[in-house]
Amino acid sequence: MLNWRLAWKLFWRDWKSGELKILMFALWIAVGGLTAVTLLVDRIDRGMTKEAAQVLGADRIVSSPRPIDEEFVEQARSLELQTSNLLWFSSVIIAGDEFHLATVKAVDSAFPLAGTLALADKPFVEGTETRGAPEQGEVWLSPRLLHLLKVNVGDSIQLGVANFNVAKVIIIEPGGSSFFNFSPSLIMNIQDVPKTEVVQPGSRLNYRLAVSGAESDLKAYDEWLEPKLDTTQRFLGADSGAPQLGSALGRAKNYLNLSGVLGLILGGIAIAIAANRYATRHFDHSALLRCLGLKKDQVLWIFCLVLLLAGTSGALLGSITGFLVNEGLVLALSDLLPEKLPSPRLVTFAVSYVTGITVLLGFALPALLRIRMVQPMRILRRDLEPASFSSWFTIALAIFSLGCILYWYAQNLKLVLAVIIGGGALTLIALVVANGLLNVARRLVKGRGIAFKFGIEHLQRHKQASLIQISAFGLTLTLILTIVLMRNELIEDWKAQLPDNAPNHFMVNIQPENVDALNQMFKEQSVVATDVFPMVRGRVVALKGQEPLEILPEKSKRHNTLRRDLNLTWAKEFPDANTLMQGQWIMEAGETPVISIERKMAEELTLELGDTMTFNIGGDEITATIESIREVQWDSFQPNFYVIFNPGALDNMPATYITSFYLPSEQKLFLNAVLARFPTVSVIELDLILNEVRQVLDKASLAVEVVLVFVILAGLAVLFATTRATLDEKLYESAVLKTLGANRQFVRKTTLVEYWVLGLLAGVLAAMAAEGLAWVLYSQIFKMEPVWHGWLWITAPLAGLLMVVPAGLIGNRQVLSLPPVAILRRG
Amino acid sequence: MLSVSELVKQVPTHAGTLTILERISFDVENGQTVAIVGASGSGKSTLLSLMAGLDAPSSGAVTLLDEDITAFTEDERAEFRARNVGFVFQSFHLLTTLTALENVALPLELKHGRSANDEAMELLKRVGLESRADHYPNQLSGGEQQRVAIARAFAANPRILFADEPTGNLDTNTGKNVADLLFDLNQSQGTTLVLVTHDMKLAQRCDRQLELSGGKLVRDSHREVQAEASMEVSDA
Repeated sequence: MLNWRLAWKLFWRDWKSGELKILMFALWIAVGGLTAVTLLVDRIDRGMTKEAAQVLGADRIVSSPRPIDEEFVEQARSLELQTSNLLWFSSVIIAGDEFHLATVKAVDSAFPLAGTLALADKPFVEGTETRGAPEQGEVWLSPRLLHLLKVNVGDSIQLGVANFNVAKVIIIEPGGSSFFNFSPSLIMNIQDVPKTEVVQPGSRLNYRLAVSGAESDLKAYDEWLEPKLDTTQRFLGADSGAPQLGSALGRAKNYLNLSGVLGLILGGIAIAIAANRYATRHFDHSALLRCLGLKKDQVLWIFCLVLLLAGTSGALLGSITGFLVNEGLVLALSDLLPEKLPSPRLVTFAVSYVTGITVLLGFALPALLRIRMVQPMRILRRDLEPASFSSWFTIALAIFSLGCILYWYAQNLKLVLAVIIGGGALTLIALVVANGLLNVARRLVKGRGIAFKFGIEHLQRHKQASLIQISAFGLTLTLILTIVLMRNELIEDWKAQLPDNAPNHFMVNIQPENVDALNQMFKEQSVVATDVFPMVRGRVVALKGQEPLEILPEKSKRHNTLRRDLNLTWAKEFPDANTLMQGQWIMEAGETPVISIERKMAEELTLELGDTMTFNIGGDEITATIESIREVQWDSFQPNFYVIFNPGALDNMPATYITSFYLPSEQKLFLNAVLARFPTVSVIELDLILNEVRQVLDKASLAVEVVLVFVILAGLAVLFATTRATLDEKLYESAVLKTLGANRQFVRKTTLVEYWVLGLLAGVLAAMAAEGLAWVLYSQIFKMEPVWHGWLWITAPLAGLLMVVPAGLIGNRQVLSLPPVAILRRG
Repeated sequence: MLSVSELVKQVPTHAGTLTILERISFDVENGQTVAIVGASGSGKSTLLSLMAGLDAPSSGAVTLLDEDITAFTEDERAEFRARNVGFVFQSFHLLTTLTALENVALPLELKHGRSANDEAMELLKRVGLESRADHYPNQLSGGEQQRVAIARAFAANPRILFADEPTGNLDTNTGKNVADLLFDLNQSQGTTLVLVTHDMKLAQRCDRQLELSGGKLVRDSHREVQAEASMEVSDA
């Protein structure tokens, strides 16, 4: 109780006298940044999951060529999940003389479990939202099918042996943007399926069980279901709904989390420096308390309590600030964010808070442990310094707490080890380089004025402190620059990836004889299209001459490319949005088939250059040798292929063509003209999902900028902590100088010289380190092409000066203002 | 009350072992006031720190209130100090973060584990500083700070009080006032007082003077008196 009271008194006075301000500021900023980031990422993440579910039409879909096992449904219901039974199949729809292939979606009354279904009486108008299945005997048609069949609402169509009345036009349907959903949709009541008689033994059917519910129940269902699925069944989660969002959002999340953690590390450094100063200034207090009869551990406990009080207040302020910033962001972005963004979770606050306190203890405890080791004898002999801990212990404790935090956020031991080893190496290199730079600076100022000489000599005399300062400033600047670099590159990369005229429509089922006419039409309407690729559908039947299931490891047997028909193409020129990883791209026309395959598929299927793959294409088998392996940028919104043949190898196979093109919304009617002229062609409208991707990127960019502010503030905390750390010594020295006759101008000049040199050297160091770090991050984490940044070498030293000189002058203003007698009297 | 026996303090230096105190022995009786004098570097402060249990000797023993404190662990010595020992220092050593009242109350709170503002106020009255109770040390003059320190030293009603140059940082007049206060309180509370000083006038006010030189006890006024007494007896 007494300890608490004394701790509270010490805390209150230290707070009022400003002793704890930097420490609390550092924690405030670190926890604030982290809370804002984690809250935002968590909320957007959950929001996007919900949005993705809307695209999918449910939180989860089990898809199977046979009727769904009854126990799957039972289990879902026992977990209080909603279910909906669907049956998808392709069938020719007939209306008078017109007939066309459509994707038939037979649904029950629970359809759709998520997402929007909107219907209208005619195409291209705003629809009315609805739920449920069509009445028996009625169907709903997509506008394209309506157009292809030349029917209107009220007309009759034939499906199998049954006739149906067209009751509505589908304006919006969940899952409508699915990439492989080539043919136009027809929605019917699942009760009507038997009377069509299209479902026969051997029919290609896709039974689907849609499942939705609370996150925790879904998780339980995932765990229960996944081991029970066989190779023919597929399980689609939220991330399967909008795969294009995946990589952009993933990078943004990586970046935000990385920034949050870097802010925290900077906060940690500031805390370590501030705590060290705090402890040093309280050695006398500790000695006195020991004289008055307090035991070592009691003294330690009291100062731990003071620190915890400061930490708790700082972290609390941080949590509140983080929450407000997050709310502000959500408010500012309300038109971009999902309509119903999930509310912040208490657990996210708790995690940031605990993280802040862990950093505080990890970085400040070594300094506090020195307080415990103060001998009571110090009261009589102030020169008695407490034994210093092995710096290894100090560093180990900081690294351990940092490691725990990084592991908590990244859940990846390899990454944590890489960051810690890399960071350690960087710090050592920074110290060595700082030493070299200081020596160079010393040589350069020879023969200059006395203030110059005095300033540099001061740095040299206190070499250890100077090196630590240069390294701390340098590394702080490095982290800030890295974040700025990453932000720029990330946003540039997104823009490059999604230019304003990125293809937003796919066109498939183009007949060979229509290719030229279609290109002509594009040209006339000034529509920018990618190349037109031939496409042949084929299934992998053998790898290296053997049955795939016999030679593949267990985990690869269910690989996506083995379970469905692949879209195969041929090309002479190397395609855009691809990178050659191995082998050579020599695709000469000829009948001997050679292929280029996608890298991940090659790895999963254990294929190497020179191996063969055999495909079944329309009953014929073709074996081809792998000549090259490519990296494919799947989110480029261009036609991409796992397997590309040389021209001529597939000449005798039935091919259709595919292309993608950009169509602004005001030119949408062009689609009708195309469909009227080439009725067999199918168009996939990706513009909606592309808009969604763009909005996500906008959101992420703004969040990235806000986080940058936190990182810079954390950097400032380090700067102030470092300048304050040497303040006492500076005060004493300046007092002696002033007593010996130095005027304010001289003292000011020497201080300026010192901080100029510190800032400049820190800047040079930061440029070197940021370039190196960015290179590692680009190539290892963000999977981007590393680039050289010339501007960094000018900006970094300038930024060093701009940050360090003012911070130094502000932090040391007492050096100039206090009369020497006031300082010398303090002793 | 206090017994110092064959006390040796050595410290290792670059040039070899340095002996600061060499086989010092003496006893102090209950209620006695003792001044330890000597030139700078004679080992006065080291002797004081060993007697008060602030440091451990290289050899020899200090028995305080019938307890061999040299056999104690550091924490046991701390507990012993809390119960029995008070200090007054040359540079006052008040906690800058506590008010005058809180500084005086601190030893009481450490000893009894409860708030002791009333007793502390009483003591501040006795040293004439009740009007400065809420002032922080940096708002007090040197003499006032030392008076607070004295009030703090007597607060826990110690059996023995150690003072290290209690008037060393004060001008003659203030020093005299502070010394008066120290002796008055000492007398009224019956405390044993051991002080280290350069000030011969202050030393003369004590019952007994011990003089150190080069780490050795070269003069003990008590023994001189005893010797004179025995000489008088033998002369007689």
